[in-house]
Amino acid sequence: MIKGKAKFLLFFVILFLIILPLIKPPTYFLSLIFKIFLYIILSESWNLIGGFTGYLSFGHVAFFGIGVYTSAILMQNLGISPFIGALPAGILSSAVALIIGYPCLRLRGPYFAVVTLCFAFIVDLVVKNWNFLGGSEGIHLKLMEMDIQISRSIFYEIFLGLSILIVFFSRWIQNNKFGLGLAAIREDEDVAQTLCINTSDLKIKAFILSAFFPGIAGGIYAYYISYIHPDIVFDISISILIVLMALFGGGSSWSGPLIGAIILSIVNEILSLFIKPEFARIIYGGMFMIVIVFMPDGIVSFLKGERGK
Amino acid sequence: MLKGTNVTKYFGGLVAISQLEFEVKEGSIVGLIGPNGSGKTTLFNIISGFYRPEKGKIFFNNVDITRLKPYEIARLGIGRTFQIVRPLKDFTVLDNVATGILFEGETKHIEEARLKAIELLKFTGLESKKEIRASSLNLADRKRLEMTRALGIKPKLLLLDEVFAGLNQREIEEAIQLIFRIKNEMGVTIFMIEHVMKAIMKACDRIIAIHFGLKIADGSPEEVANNPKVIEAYLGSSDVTS
Amino acid sequence: MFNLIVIIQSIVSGLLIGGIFALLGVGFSLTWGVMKVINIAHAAFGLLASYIAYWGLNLYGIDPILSLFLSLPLLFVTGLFIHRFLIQHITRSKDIIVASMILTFGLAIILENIMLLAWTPDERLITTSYSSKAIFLGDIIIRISNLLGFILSIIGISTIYLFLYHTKTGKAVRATWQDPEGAALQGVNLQKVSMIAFGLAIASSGAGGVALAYMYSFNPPSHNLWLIFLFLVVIVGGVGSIMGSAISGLLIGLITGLSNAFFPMQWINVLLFGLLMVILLIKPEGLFKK
Repeated sequence: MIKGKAKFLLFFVILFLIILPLIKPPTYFLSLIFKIFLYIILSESWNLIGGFTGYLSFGHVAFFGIGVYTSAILMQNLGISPFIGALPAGILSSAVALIIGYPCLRLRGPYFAVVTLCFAFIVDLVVKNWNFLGGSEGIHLKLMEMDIQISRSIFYEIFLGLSILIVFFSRWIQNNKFGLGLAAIREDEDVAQTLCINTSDLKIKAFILSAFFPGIAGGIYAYYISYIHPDIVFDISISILIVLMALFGGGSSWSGPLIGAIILSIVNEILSLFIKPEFARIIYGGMFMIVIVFMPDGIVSFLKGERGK
Repeated sequence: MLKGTNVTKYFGGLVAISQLEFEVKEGSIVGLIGPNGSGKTTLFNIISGFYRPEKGKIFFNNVDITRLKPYEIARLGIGRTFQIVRPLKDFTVLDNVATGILFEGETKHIEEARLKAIELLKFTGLESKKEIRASSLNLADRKRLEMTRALGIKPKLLLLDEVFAGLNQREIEEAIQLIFRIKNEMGVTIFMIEHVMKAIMKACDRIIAIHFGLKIADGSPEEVANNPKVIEAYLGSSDVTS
Repeated sequence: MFNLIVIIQSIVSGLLIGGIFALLGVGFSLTWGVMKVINIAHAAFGLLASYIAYWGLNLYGIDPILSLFLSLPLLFVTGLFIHRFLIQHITRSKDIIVASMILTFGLAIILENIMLLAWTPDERLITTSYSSKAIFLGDIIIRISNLLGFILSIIGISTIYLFLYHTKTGKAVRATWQDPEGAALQGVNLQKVSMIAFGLAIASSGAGGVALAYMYSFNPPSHNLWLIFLFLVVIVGGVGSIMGSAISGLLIGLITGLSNAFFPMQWINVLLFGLLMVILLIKPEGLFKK
């Protein structure tokens, strides 16, 4: 719940973030925050099916990548600007989620995790071998003819907007009937059924929503990076990272992935500056273990003293 | 109200229930007894839609519900509890009950559902604990919550699976009273599986006894208690607690 | 193209590697089915044994088989510790199986990067004096190293079988699996039994790792690919079923061998992932469910 003083603070933080590009901070700094926005969007979206519903998808990066490629192809072949192309990108990702959701959501726990992981691998491999999509060469998009500072700022503001949107959307869902149903499914799917909840219906809806925003974000991101390659946009470590971020912050609440994305992105940056990547990854591995053993409900619950039951 | 014809269920090569015919009349409290493994919970799972029988049909108010999904059966008005209680652990007691009320359909908003949940909790005596996390409740309260939660969906038929197990004398007495009140004040028909013989004799109008998936008795508590086949079935096992 | 010799050769090679898949699969299936732990680090431990064997061979001239006398006990004890101090602490989670996946995932990352630091990302291969030799059955070539790996796997699977069916602890493990409450009532110390079974599974992975190292080059990220094969083997064979995993391992090896002869490399992986997805979606309990 957001109380009076916090609302005030939040307003100023958001205002500050909006104005930030105008005071011309170093590009590196702006890029870092941009990356944080990306992970907020991805992990909050993931959390709709993962944390809220309890179906941990380990291949979620696939929806992001599908979004990237959709808008890239539309740009390359039809000249459609990715700012417009992002919408069909999101819709296509949702459509894919709908199609594979029906069979996959019948599986529980580990089976669902493995099948979504397979799905992501398959999409990655298919794209790599499909020449229409650029194959393993990737796609090069023409850059916008604009000052780089200005274009970076535009992307920044768009992603800021998307982040705010997904966070509020997630919060809205958590507190309405749909979210309550998802939470019931997470707690005990059989019991949820005995309470008149059409679990298949809710799960599919959550899955589609969780794919839509990464699709849109991917659509915009295509233009940001302008060189698209499967290794970049279907990178499994992105899937893994967003799961960790959501779980670290606490999956059952809208605030979890937000906190997780911010903290872990910053930690990631600091680590990559000072230590070897292998050591950084060892620390990540350790974090997975620490989170699941000591704070299975996320860091916020842990700090509040709400232990496991 | 509830009728089963020729209900047969296999698990792999094992027969769990065989050609079972049973009926539960509206407004009654019917008991289902039998030694462990005789197929009682299996039958409940079939009625509530979690299992599909290989043969036979289940009718609820003359509607064939055999092939319906569990949530559809719940919407038709059959509620159930589970043998090993399954509270929604992270939910408060209030929300455990409010969820069913909300999804039953008549109530449109969460806040309205929560208000109705409070009324229901008052009826079953859990109102003072409504803000407590379900995981913190003791066994007797969890069982009470399980029943309250099932009542949230406005059931016409309530399937109770061993609600007395693990309760002491006093708690059993309270539970029996609650069940009577549910039947009399809310007009809910009750079909209950039980092992605690004294309790089931007291609570039920009729008792059905099954053994190895077959029906061996069907009648008033006195008739069933004196039925030689029933006595024989139970002599072999040590799970009669009275 | 459809040369009979090529086909038979593929079948033989496929079966030989299938034996190793079987061994790795049995250990993976054991922890999943019996202890409800999906050990994402299973293949990583196997890889560790491969590196120890490689190390022993290249630094001290010790035959890889002998290195097992070091790595097997080491892995067994490591398994005991991991179970006792990590796995036994995630019982608070709502879904223990998924929690175990996340826990062992972290472990796998740690192992992989320790190996990266210790041995660099370079590909390694175990080459002994006999590994290039082969025996000939007509036109069919059977490399000594492949045969050795296969024999190692047979020994490993037999050991696990003997443990489960002919030792007191092993029988206790099976009892726990079938009826945890009943077993506990009969005085079985669940924790101790699980620890030992886990240690055994990890050790068996070590044997499998060494066997694989004879046949294929490896580097730290290799365990990821092995793991996908393991999921395929165990899901097809049915979680917890020793016989199922063994047969399924041979089957997957066979399919891999045959595919190698007919499909280009990249598509084999797609084929396998696709197969895994299809099996999961159609028959997640496996083809050999008891």
